[in-house]
Amino acid sequence: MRKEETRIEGDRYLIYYWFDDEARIEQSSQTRPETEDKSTGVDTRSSTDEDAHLG
Amino acid sequence: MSELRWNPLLEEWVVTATHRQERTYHPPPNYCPLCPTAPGGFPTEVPAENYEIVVFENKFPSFRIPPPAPAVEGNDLHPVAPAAGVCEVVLYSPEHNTTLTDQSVEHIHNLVRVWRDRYEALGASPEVKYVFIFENKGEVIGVTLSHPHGQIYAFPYIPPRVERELSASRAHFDQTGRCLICDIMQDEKDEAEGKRRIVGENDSFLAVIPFYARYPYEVHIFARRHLQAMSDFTVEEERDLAEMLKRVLVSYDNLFGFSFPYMMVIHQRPTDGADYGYYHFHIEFYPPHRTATKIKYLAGVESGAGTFINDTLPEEKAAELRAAYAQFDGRRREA
Repeated sequence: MRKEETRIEGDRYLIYYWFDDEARIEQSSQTRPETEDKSTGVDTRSSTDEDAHLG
Repeated sequence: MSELRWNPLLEEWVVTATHRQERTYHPPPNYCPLCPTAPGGFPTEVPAENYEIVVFENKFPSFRIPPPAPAVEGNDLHPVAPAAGVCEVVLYSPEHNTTLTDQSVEHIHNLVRVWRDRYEALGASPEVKYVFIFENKGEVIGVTLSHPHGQIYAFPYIPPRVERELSASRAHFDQTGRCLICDIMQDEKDEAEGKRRIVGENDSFLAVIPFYARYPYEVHIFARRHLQAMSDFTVEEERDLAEMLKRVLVSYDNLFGFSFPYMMVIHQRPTDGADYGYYHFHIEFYPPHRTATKIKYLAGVESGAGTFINDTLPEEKAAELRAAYAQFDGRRREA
């Protein structure tokens, strides 16, 4: 199991958990691969109504 | 605004979280904020085009570190405390039209490993006293986003329902020298009882509708070995839990012929550093359906008196689920 951490809107953390290297290769360039448990770059997406979540 | 308000009558905290009124409510399927972001598509919570399992901080959390300033000042009668903690979302799959039930045992095993990692990581925070892992599934439960996901609340205190379990387990241990849930399991396995409430079992876990079930199809999954948390699992136990979850979930769907709604909660050792050797890891399911077309509502007696009225016998409902469990072939059949 490997982890890649990034930041999303609102400076919140988001962690990708990977178990299969092939699946990871398919990820888009929007994902910034990092070393395990290391927090990095800020996502600059704008906030929209559709962007919100959760219950 | 978010804060803890003390109820002196019940001696428990209530969490206010007024910003949660603004959270997304049943968005169209092509605007799901939990799907991966498609090339040229609207930006979801997940920037990548694909993922296996993702965890992120809830945009509308009930707890935060650092916590926001409380909206009101408390007093001796009505204490107020900061809502310090963490709320996470766990995305099970990038596929929108799927459920935890549809996932392979291998993938559910991966999810168990993620749960364990989050339990340990969040539990290491000095503000966090209890890591509560759960899933709400189905509109009837109140779920507003249908994408398969669960949640984690890292509490700044031990929640009252867990506190009651801990208290009862501690009292039983002091009185008998034995674990309460180990004794409950032994009673369920007792041949004199005819194993009437057992739904299924494997090398590491036992699934039962317990003697004291509140909901008609309330399955509890107990670890066979006396252990307190996922951190105590062997690799075999992680895999056996995944297999047990898969079988119970498929049995639910196959018994009813539709994707069965439920609340799933994981009860394990608090993370406040105290010794909880008398406690016992388990998972509880609270499905709202009492038949395929009828719902068990929490009405006056349940909400106002705190006493559940179960319209069924656990022994009879366990027999139904046990038959579905025995027919498990890995596939989900819808009517």
